[in-house]
Amino acid sequence: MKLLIVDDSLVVRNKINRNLLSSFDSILRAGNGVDALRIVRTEKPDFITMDLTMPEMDGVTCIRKVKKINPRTHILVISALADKATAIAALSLGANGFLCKPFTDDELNQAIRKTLEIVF
Amino acid sequence: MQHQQLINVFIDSVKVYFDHLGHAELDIGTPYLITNPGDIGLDYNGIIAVYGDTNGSIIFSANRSILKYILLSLGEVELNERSIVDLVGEIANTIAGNVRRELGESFQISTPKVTKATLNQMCPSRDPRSFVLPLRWKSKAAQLLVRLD
Repeated sequence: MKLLIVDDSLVVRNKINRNLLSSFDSILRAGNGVDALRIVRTEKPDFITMDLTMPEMDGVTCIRKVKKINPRTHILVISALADKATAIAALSLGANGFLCKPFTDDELNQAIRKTLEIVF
Repeated sequence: MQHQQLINVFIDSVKVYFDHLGHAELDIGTPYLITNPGDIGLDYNGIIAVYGDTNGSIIFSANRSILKYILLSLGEVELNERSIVDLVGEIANTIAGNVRRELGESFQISTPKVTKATLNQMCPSRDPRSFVLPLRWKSKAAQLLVRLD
């Protein structure tokens, strides 16, 4: 499986990358929604971890566009926005899971597993 | 929301961030009002603008040494300027985003900006709604500055 990590924070991208190296065949990274969409079109990732608050294009807009390009892409939102309304909005757009920042390694792995269980 | 309740919301959000790092307890000092802007702000400032029902800013301010320790706790191997600048913005973003659990979605926040400049102009003195949470983690100091209308 191919994973795309979308987050404007280099430190967060690195943390997710380190954690999931052994769980995916390849990992791609993007710092905003615009770069993420370019990668989605060319590389067709199977799974995306998506931040919401980003420059250029926010995560909500990006989820909507990703789902238009490939509705079968699985998306786990990883965001600091901890209110219920944001989580519900992301899930209603087609995201398959929601993980709140900050997160531990275990919480990330559990969220990935849970999202994949829901999908398959 | 009363001022003390608001302070507690930010205290909880800061605690959640540092609890997730593990390794050491976070000491939170007594919150104080900003009376002299010259006394606040450390080396690096991650700034989040707040808009929507409330306007203002949330600033996580820290010295290089604590930010390096946090990077190590996150498992980061690149302890360079780029990672440090990125981290201080991400901490501000996480703390500000987490307070929406209590304050709701109308508490809208910007992406982080990072500055190493003085904070004097951002925090008018004797503003009754501006406060500082002094923080200490692994014997290193940091501050959370909250300025809301």
